[in-house]
Amino acid sequence: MNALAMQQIKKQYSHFQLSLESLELPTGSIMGFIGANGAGKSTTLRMLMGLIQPDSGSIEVLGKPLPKHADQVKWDIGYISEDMRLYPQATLEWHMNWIRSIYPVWDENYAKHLLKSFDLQAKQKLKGFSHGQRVKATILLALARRPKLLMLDEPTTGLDPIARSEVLTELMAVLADEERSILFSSQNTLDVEQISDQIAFIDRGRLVGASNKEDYLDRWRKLRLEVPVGVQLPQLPEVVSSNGEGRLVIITTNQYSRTLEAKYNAIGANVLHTDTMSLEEIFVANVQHMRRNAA
Amino acid sequence: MNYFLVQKLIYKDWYFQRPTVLGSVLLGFLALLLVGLQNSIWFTAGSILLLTVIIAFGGILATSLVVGERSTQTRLFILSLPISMREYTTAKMISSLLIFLIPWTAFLISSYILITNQAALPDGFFAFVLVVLLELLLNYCLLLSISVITESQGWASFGIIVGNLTLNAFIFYVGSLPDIKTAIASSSMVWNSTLTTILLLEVMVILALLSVTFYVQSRKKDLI
Repeated sequence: MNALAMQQIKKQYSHFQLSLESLELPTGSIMGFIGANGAGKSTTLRMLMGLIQPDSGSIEVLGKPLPKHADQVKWDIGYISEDMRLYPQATLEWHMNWIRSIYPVWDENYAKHLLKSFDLQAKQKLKGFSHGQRVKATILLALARRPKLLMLDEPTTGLDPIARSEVLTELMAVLADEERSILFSSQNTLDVEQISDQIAFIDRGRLVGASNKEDYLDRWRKLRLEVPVGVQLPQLPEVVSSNGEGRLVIITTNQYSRTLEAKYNAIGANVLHTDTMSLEEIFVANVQHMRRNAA
Repeated sequence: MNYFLVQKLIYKDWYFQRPTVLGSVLLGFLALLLVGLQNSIWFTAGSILLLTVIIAFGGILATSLVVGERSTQTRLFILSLPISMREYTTAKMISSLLIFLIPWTAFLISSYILITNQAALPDGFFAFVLVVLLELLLNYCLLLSISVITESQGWASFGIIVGNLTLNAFIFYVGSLPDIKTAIASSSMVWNSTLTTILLLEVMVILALLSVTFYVQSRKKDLI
């Protein structure tokens, strides 16, 4: 079963169009939603929260269609956004008490555990919090209500390495319960690579790829070729880009298999190295490939 | 409609506005004290102070409760809770109105007690005070509607300017009407047809403003 599913989504703004064919997150998974600034990550997450309605298409979250059941579904969603602020004039304790009074499922022991592990002072007013403390306070308020689905819009942006590590550790702990799922948008591919098992790339309002993380890491490779004079490299469908002139050429592929190496060897090129790619390299190569195709 | 959540949002707004309410009530009572000093200069100063307190309180309230939630980005936190636009609007309108009505009602009652117990002030003057206070409530509702619908600081400022300009013109115009002059000067309260028509019109405009706000909000597709 899917924690969320979007099909044929379109949303038109004056200078931006979001157009997503299909995005699904299986229950119990953590999906990293990667895209540059303005790619449409926040708009997508806000649609999944029922805060924005698409012009067309269908959205289902936790088995219920949106926006019709948005209010009902939001009881089971913990949503955190980089743009979200708590009330600066109130203490974290006030926020915790207020949220606890709304959510009967609030887990006080877990909240106390998070307070300690995030090193937050409950009696301190939010206006005295640093950016990192504010983000951790927002995450605490979302996690302690034990949501079935966490939607995090760039939660680690601007966090120092220690705060980032604390946040990622707690997010990983959430997934100890197999019924919980996380959609995690970020520009930081390192964070995503660390904790996600599903990856989706978005660029200029379009989904340019969505798959299992291991699939991505397995399929994408860089091949360093030595090409003798007179040998012409063929245009292969599995090749995404080819860089370099003269004897040394670097091939990027999104459908790697041993047969690709064999194909190059067969025409006289020498495969010097086959390198794995980081998620960041895959993201950049994928986006550039899609942009070239679109042009 | 989830009344439980609406109630929680109203409580939250009240919690954050308590210092503003207290400050405005104290300043308002100071103004009424000046009005009661039986001296024309203090009477004028007190009246101006009272009007200023109510106008400023309304302005602060509408901008901080509605526009401020957007500019300080706390609105997204609220909208992440399981509420609909209808519930959010209902909570915002109720809390904004109730909080404004606390000092407004205190000033209305105090004015009544002051006027009916001051020999120097004719009891009929209270009818005029009621008309002016209702106009202030109307102006506040206009500002509230603009703020809720547009969520824009610019439009809210425009609403405050329009409200102030129309208030001055309104007091000048209504105060010059013969029937109102008669009512003000009367030793007992007179509810003539001019007075009741004005009061009725004010109430109708207030209701229309609130209805339009709910209608426009209900048609909004996006919460942010």
